[in-house]
Amino acid sequence: MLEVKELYFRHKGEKRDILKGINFTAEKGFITTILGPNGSGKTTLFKCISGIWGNYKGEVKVNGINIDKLSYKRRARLFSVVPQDHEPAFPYSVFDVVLMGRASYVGIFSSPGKKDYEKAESALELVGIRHLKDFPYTKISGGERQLVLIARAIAQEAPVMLLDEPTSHLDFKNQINVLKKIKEIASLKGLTVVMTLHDPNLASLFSDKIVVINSGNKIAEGSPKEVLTEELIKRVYGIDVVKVNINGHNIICPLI
Amino acid sequence: MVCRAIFKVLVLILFLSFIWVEVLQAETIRVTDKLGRTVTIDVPVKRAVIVTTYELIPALNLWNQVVGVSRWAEEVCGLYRAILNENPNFRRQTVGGGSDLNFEAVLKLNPDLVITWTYNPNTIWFLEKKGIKVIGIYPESLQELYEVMRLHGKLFGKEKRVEEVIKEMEKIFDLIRVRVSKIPPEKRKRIIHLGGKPTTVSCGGITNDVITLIGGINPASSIKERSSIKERNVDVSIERIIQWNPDVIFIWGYARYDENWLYGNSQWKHVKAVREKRVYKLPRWSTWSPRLAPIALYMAMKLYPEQFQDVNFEEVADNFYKKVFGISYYKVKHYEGY
Amino acid sequence: MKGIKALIILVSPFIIGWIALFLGAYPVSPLMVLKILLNETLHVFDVGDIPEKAIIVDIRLPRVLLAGIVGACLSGAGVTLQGIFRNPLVDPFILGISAGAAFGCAITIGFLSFLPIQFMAFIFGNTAVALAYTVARTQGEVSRLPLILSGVIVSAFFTALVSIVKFLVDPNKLQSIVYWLMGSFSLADWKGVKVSLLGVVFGLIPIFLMRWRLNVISLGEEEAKALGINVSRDRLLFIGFSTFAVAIATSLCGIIGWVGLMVPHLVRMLIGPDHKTLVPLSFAGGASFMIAADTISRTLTSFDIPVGIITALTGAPFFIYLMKRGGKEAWGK
Repeated sequence: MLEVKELYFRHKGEKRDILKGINFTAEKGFITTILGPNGSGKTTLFKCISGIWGNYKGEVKVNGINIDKLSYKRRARLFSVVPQDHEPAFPYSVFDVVLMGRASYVGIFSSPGKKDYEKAESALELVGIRHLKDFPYTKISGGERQLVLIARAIAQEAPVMLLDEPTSHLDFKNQINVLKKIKEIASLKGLTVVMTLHDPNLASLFSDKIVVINSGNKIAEGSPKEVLTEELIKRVYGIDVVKVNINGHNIICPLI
Repeated sequence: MVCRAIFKVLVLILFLSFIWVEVLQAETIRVTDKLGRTVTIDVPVKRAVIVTTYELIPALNLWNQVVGVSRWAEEVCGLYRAILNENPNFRRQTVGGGSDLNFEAVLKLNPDLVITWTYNPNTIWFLEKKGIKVIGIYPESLQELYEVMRLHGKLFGKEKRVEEVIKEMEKIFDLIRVRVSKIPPEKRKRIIHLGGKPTTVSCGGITNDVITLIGGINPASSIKERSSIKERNVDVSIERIIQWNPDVIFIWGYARYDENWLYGNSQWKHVKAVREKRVYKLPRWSTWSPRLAPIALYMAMKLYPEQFQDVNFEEVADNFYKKVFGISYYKVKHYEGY
Repeated sequence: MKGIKALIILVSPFIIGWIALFLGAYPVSPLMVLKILLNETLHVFDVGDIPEKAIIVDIRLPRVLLAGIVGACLSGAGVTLQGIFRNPLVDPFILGISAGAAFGCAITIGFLSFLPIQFMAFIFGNTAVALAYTVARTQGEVSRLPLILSGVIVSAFFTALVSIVKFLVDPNKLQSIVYWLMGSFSLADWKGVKVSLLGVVFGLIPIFLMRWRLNVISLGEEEAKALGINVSRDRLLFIGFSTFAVAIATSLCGIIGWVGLMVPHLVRMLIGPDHKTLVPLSFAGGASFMIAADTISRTLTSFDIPVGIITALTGAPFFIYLMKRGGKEAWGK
């Protein structure tokens, strides 16, 4: 379980806070989405939670442990980060990439052992990409690469999984597939999943809880049905929409 | 009254003869130096900077015509230091080392001529561009050394003195030649000369010439012939030296190591010269100088000692020093730290 | 297939080294070489105290060993630096570490002869890479071309400092420095081999043990941190070990360039980027290459060609080829 309490953040030398006292919790086994327009502080919030930026005010706790003063190794055992799909530096094989998720369990003067290899294998199996094992990471599709990064996060065996805009570079088919897979894994493995999304509909379809951020403030927190109202969308995004219910899901349709 | 007239005439004749000598002496000569450059210069030169042939300064008595020397003269040349000690007024401005001249110091002296070696031609081009006359030298044989010495003689109006010095040198060389000619070809010994590094051997240049003169055979000279490389010193593997198996090894006087280094090194123990303990470090004397003669004698006496049993090296050297440099060998030896 | 390639590379230094023992200026028959080696190791075939024995045991064997170890050190440092800086075009020579180490050696020979030369070589080797890194850094990231450029600058800087030392030092010590700088194995002996083993123990072995982490570090600083690696600490360690290996190598045989650039590349092209295999095979490849280059340098003509010339003649064209190609396959872009 992830708790964020009274989180304030500003860059060094800046006068204004980017994050102005954010509070929310993410529960185990559920998917919590941080939703907000560009410039809302979404990315900053993500970087603070994942530990990339350390000088924030407030608390970030995982399972009651304050992550602030932890070493990189211990932090990596508490949460895994799935970055956006990016241009890779090397043509490592898919298996090699997933194996790197075990880094926090491998001693400084050691290489991964049999157990690490097994965990990497089962992560690949779980995500369903075992057939890609020996392919160079650079030669598979964007959607497949995202799945590889998810498999790597699974191999990391951390209770919290953070995903940064996991669908931003993907086509429609892969967006759906990746999000479906994430939902599957979250409940299967009992992970606390926190992801940032910018599309309210995807958030609505795939999240258990949504936290809406705008201008560094938390606007709302709750289930998609509670949070995503026409009036909130109008307030945050400035767009007129109409909410429709289909198959038990709420869809936001912009009024053009 | 007649006496006074005669006196006046004598004075006039004396005066005229001085002018005549001055006029006759002052001429312009053209010199082609080692780099093929043609330099036109008025002789006798009155303000010269001498970089590598500083031992010629005491030999030809050029003190009044030299305004600058390289710092090597004062730092590594015992002969020069000894002479300065006796004649402090002979001290001249130093202008840096041979491969890195202090151009500012040179320019400040405003010399008529700079005589330097061609090891780093860039120094010569640089000075030329600044309007300084430079003559580049690099004697690679005894004959060339004589030519360079005679050039110095011509430049400074000391032709006669040069011939005297050369005569003294030839006396020693003749001594060597005569004694060495008695040795039949098959009994000639193999010599190598090691440089800054124990595996750097001389394969050409003036050292090679001396080796031939003293009746030795330099196996390294075949490198130059076969590969037509211009280098005078090359790096070889120790295997090559073992293959050559020289009878005697000479080490450059300024090398950082000496014969004991070779004696104590297991890699060299199969070389004949090392086995028979015939490795000799040469004295720290410049070879571009009249002192080449006593160096040759030193080498010859180490090479064929039986031919020189009656020769007392230090006596011969002392004689030579007094005639050529005007100072005792023993005094200089003190300055060389021997 | 990959396994066979790896095996060949791993075994190559032993094969090439073995052949090198049979080659040299002094003619020694192959049979005699064998006899001598057996005599040394198993004490059979008493050959007596003949010159051939000294040639093989005291001259060729230490020379081949030293060349191999130095090659491994340079290549090992190269592959490590390429991984740390995520830059295929770096090696200890290009980054200025060799020049820094050379300066350390020169200054010790010239003014601090009471110290072992490896000490200052190590200190200034590290200074050089720290400078290159700092100069190239903007916004916490070090991108490729700036790093190479700053390496070239740092290298030029330290080379200039060496010139100053040469200028200030007394002529007797000067020629020590000049000859040693030129890069050659002609004075290789057992003492040198023993010193070089320091480079193996305190440079190559730690790198070997830590090699898998290079995979993670090469993903980039943020990502590696998120995966649990203390990037600053590990980077410092890797650089420290590499520089130590380079300092040892430079102190023993002067500046030899290009090995650390070429060999890791070639191995990466053949085997792939996984440092678990790349690192040890870079050691092996570097050893083979250096032994081969040195053997050529001492047998091609009747004198020793400076080995740096051989490495440069093969290295520089290879570098140009890499730049033109953009290192696509070897680097994944």
